[in-house]
Amino acid sequence: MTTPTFSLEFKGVTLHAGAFGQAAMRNVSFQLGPGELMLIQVEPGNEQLPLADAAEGLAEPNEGGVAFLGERWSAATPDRQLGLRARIGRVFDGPGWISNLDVLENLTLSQRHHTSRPVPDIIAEAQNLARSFGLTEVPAGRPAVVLRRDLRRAEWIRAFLGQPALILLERPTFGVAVEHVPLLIRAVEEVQTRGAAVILTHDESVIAREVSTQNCLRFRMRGDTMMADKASLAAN
Amino acid sequence: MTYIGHIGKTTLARWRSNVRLFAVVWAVLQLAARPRYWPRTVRAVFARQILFTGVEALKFVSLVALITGVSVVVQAQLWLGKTGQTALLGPILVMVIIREVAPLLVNFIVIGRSGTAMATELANMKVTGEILVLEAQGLDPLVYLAMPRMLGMAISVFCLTIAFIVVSFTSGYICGILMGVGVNDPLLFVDSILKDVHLPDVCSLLAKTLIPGMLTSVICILEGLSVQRAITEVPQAATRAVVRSIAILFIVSVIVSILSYV
Repeated sequence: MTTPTFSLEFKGVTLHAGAFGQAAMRNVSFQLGPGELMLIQVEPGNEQLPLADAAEGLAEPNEGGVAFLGERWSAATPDRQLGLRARIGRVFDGPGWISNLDVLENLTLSQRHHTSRPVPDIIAEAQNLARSFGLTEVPAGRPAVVLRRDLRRAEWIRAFLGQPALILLERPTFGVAVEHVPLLIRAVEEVQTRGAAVILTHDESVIAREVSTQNCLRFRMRGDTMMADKASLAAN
Repeated sequence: MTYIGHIGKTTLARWRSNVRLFAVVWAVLQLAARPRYWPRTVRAVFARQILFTGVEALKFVSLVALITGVSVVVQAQLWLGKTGQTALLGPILVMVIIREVAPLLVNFIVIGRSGTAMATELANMKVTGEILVLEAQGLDPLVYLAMPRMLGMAISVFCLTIAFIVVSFTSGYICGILMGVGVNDPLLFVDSILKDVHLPDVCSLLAKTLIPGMLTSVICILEGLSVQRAITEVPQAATRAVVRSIAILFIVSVIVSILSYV
């Protein structure tokens, strides 16, 4: 079996506007290789993109196709799809928590479900990530009782836990203090060096400033069209 | 014509809904037979379901069983003693308590206590997007949510029914002694019941606990997951789940009773 050239590939993907406020995307094509970062600046009022759902095979494109690690979602069996999704970390644009599990159970859910790693190892990795994101430890209790700013950083932990092949960060700094943004960018750079692909959507200039140009593809949403951000490329 | 069309449409919808219900039960049973669909996360949900539906309901089920024992078992002993038909004590108690009352009351308690909670919990999860969060992490809702709940509820209903039978017979016996009716020797009392428990009674007990337990949980799961995005749909889904569960409970009970007497 050959190693796929691209971690994620969109071919002429069109997604109509979602019923729950997601923006439309038209004729999106890109190839994201291992270790590459794709930075997408979203438009005010159209912040929620269906891109992450399509990348995970959760939203079927109205046109075109999406392949992850060389496998088209539409051709993969349901079991295979679940196995592939286990290799994706994500920070959700909307609510991203299972309310009847506490934060630590939420963070470790995927690893406990898909792997046979000892739970103490998973928890230790989660605590290390928590410290790297400026938290003293993983917040205790159910998500409903944790401060929003801490909860957002706890979502970062989940996205990076277990060495995923693809990390989808949907406006990950929303509600987070500016001083914590570099911690996220540093983590992104680290996972890039070990070959993970990252998609980061944002609506804040601080992200664009913090991210280095190396292995970074910059895009900007204009209505339902995603275009290469030539202005920012030129500036860099 | 419109009226007939409406009847046809409703009947077809009900038929499809029931086909879906049995399809989900069958799919879950198939999944449950394969060890690879039992990772530690699913086992944890299964254990929690048994704790919530079985263990935490034990007190209330015991209370109802105690009252049932006092009212049914004592009366049976009293009236059969007065009519000189004490030999019928065993068959009557087996027929009334083991075959009919215990499974029916326990199922009612579980539907009211856990069925509504299950439908509400899953409806809330759907409304708040938690199902998508699970799927995005590669967790199949059928495996993670449905399978442990269905099996946990079925096993809980069976175990609670056994507990109900034991408590009701014990309380009935003790109350009978205090009132001076029935047999005094506990071994004789137990023997008079056990000698009339036959294979059809055991099959009836299994069928009236495991089948409604599975169907009730799947009804609650499906109704819970049938909501879209409005929080106002949640209580409606819970109500539908209870009504459908009670209906299916009676249907299953009647069918099993008829089959066990044939």
